[in-house]
Amino acid sequence: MIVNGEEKSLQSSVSVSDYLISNKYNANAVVVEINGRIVPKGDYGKIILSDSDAIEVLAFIGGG
Amino acid sequence: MRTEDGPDDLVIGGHVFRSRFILGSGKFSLEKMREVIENAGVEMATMALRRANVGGAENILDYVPSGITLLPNTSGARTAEEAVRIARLARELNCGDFVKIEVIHDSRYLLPDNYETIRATEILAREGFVVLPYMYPDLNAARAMRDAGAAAIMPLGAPIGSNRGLLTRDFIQILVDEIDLPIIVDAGIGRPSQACEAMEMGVAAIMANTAIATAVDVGLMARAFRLAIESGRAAYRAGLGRRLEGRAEASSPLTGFLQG
Repeated sequence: MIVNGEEKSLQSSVSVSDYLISNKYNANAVVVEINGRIVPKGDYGKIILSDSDAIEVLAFIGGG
Repeated sequence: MRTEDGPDDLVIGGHVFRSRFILGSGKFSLEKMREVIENAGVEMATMALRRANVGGAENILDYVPSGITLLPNTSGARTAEEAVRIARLARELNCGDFVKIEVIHDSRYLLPDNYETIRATEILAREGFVVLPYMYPDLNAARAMRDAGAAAIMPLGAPIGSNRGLLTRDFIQILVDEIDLPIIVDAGIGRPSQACEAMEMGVAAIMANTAIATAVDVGLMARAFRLAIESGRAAYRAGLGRRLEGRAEASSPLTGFLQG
């Protein structure tokens, strides 16, 4: 699976929600895109990641 | 120049603000950013969207006081399509519908691409965003952004981060005079007096970041900017006195002097 442009190994099929939790992300602080499509927050528990996915996990930082 | 009394709220896209100072949140620690927001009395602050490569990081939103309107920017976008993508992603973070369009593919001067910005404005306005395009002050481009549905226009004063002030002042004045939208000077303002000058010109609001972040006493500079922006706005509403060229005019009559 590709996460933010880098190859990462995916142990087993996990939901977006579980992936965020196990990688210590705060689900309220990030927005997730899978294969170019934004995942609505309400679907984090339902969408299952697969090894062929390319995901982006983004968050706000300071900027002008 | 007009004189006015009564409430002087700033209205952008139907939202009402008392403060005419918008904070750029870059270059601050999270704690410092919170202190600056409080000292500056801002009601709107920008943020950028970036890859979160590690978990466990602090959430910047925890450091933004409640009631502050978030203005996500599309920094990083080099085309209208990239700006649209960033805006849609930012909106998923449930911080409202405001977006500052910033499309830059010149990495030396960081000058915005007006044409790509017009295209992004049109798409995002149609999707219900409150669009504030950051632009190089050009009346034709500003008109196109207005026609595309922009809620305000954000012309730059000088290159981002330069602290060089109102290099584009005459062209900002043209926008103030000709475009019936809030004109918000963003980028390049380096000192409170420049913010004050822009407000005296009739600009609706000021956005600043580097001028505060690079000051020696950041919290005090935030307060100085707040005062300067209030002062400049009051001066504009008061109606500046006329400018006398080629001669002077005595403040007391030139007769009745004491003799002997």
